[in-house]
Amino acid sequence: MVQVNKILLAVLLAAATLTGCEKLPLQRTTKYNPKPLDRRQGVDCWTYINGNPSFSTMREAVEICGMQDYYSEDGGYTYLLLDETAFSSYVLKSLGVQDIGDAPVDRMRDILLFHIIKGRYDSYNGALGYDPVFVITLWKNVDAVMTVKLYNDDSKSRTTQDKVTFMDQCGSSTSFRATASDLLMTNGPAHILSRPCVYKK
Amino acid sequence: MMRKVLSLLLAAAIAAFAVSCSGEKFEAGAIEMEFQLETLDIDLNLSDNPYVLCVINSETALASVTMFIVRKDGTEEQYKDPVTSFRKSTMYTVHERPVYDETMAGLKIVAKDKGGAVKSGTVNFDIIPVVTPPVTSFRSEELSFAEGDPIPEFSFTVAAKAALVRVTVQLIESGEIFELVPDIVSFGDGLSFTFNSSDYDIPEYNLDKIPQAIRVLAEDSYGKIGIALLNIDYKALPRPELTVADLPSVDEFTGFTVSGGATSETGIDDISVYAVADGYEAKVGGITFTGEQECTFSINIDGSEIMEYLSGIKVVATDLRTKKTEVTVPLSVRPVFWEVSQDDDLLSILQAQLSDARFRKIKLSLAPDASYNLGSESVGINKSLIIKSPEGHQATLTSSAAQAFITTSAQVDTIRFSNLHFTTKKSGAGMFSFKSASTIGRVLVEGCLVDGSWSLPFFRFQDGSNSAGSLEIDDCIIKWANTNGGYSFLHFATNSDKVANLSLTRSTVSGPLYLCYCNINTGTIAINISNNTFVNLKGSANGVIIAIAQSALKGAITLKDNLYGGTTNITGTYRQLRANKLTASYENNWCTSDWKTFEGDGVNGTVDFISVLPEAENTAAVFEDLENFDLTVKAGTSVRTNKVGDPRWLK
Repeated sequence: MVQVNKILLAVLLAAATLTGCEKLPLQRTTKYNPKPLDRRQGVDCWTYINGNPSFSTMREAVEICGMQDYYSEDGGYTYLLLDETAFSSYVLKSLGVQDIGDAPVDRMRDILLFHIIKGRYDSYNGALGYDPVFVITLWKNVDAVMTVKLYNDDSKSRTTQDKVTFMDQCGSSTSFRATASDLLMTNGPAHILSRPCVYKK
Repeated sequence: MMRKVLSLLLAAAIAAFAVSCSGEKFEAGAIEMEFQLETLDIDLNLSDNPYVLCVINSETALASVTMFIVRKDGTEEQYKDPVTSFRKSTMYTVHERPVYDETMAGLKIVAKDKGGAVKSGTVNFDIIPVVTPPVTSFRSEELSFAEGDPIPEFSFTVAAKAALVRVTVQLIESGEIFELVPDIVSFGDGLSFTFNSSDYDIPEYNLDKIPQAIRVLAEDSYGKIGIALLNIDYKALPRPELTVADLPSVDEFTGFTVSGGATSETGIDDISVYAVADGYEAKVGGITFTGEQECTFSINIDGSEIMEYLSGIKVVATDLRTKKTEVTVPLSVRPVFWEVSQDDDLLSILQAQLSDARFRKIKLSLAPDASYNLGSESVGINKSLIIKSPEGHQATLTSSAAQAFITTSAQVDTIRFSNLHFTTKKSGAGMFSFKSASTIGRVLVEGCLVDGSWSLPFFRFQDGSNSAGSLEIDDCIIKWANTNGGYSFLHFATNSDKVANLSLTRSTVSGPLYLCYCNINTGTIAINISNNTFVNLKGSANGVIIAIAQSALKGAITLKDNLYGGTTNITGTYRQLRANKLTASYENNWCTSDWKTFEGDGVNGTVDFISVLPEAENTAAVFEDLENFDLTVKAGTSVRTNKVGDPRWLK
């Protein structure tokens, strides 16, 4: 009798624990999908930029435009960080200068604002799929059109599977993949780009 | 009791678990709606207007997103079916571009979540309506002016709904477009423009064309072009009226008068006279006026311009507005020979007329019994050449050319030498040399005496591809000095040459051994050697008197009534005629009994066409005085009876 009561008590406790549970998430695939164990950087985006020599020109651009707060505070954004290649091969040429200090501030500011997306878009939060989605950036302009998606690699190696991809099916813009993606800053996800997003109708 | 309680608790717990896991239950949450822009600038004149872009984030799973077009009158109409399926339940992006029109005020988006929360937002449209093309208004309804007058002053204004980028001002004349001013690309306020032709340097229009309208094209920044026309009432002036009197027949090189009259409203400027022929026109006279509305003219034309080939005289009347009227009257010109006196430099006259395009044909009449020197070079001709002197009073032409007397490589219709004495001072010269694809119509040498040191052929084709219609020697005395071998008297060496007719008739020829060598191998030839006297043929080589070398040459050869005589130093083996594939017809051809010839026949297709006179009729018995070139045939000989040889010796 005492034994039965103990069993019943255990069952009651189990039932109480399970009561009111939310619907369990469905298992989407049986395939093993390896991911980095931890993409969290432990710092905000501005601190990350300052501590990484790959973004020295971007840091200088942000300081010239006075946009440090955008990168340090939590505005619910996704950050697209332009590395040295992006600046030297594309951005400076588009601005017609050789040094970031000579760039027109208003145009530089627009470029930086265009590379801050409203909302959080990374590979983990389900915001991105294999079809491109249009996103809104901080640049208020009719040409501030951008799409983001995950890349579906059909090759045998599948080395670029689920890479974050920009500007796909976006007018006649050039589509490209992030150099590195899903860096989870304390104030939002960030993706590293080696070329800027440019919208072409 | 305790057991029952525990059982009830267990059942309740199980039931609660089942309920919690079997159904969905949502609570309304916050919905955020973010538009790319609050207001979209929509230009209905463009084709690539922006999309509406809106990102919707919801705490609770979305149930639906519905869009509505908001009209300016405040009404709303649903745009497409509501979206009820979402890849990610808490996020949706609207990316739409409806067909914009002027009645739209915006696009409203309503998002509902499964908890019942509703959020709506509207993006406004700032619509620029479709603009009409620029409109041009002319100050006057029409321009009116007469031919030759400048275009009168005109003006217009352009009104546009969008910024003007270009105004083009053109003249339409006889269906063609003529630019009046360079494109205007600078405008004050951009939406209007006023043009006054007096501010521009308007060019003269083409008097040969009819001005029809001024055309203005005005283009705005949207590329819309408005076109306007200002009609022109143009008064064209009539051309001059011209009459020309008929012309009588005239002799070549003879002047005459062209007369007539002309009238013009504008006034006559000049009357010009042209000599015309097929493919030819040259001004030969004229007279200027000072704008008379009515005039008559009588213009003398110099004879030096009047050639036999002219077909008419064209008269052109031009008025002060450069309008022209022309009248052509027929002209008949009788051919006349150019008289060359004893003192004239025949060679200079010949060379001048050869190089003067007015002379399509050279016709020279030489003075009786005159002597002319034709130099040490061959005379190269490029047009028909006719030279004559009176019968019985032959003019003498002396050449020192080392090669042929007459050469050509051109197209020549006629060469005709009549009653002339040709002589040469250069040993080894020839008479005619046709070179390098020359084309000859007819060559006729008649009634001539040819003597001297000739040894190259009388007729010779060189370098191939020459062609002749007819080569004729008639009623001539030709004293040739031929060398052994080498060339024949009539010599056609190249396969590619062509001769249609070759004739040697009623003539006396002394000297050459080989009479004719023909190596032509195409086409058809007709050869007639008849009523000739051949004396003192010389040679010591083998050969054939008349040789048709190629079997591909078709045609006929006629040898009739020819007499051969005199002495000869024939030592080799030679034959009379190799006709090859020509049809040979021969009769009444004789040689004196002492004329040495004939070495077999049938060899190589040869035939013997010459019969030998009786023993008694040797050279001395037949000819009166061969040594002094008196070849009169003595009476009583069968030669005379049978009328053999050159008729001049049978009289």
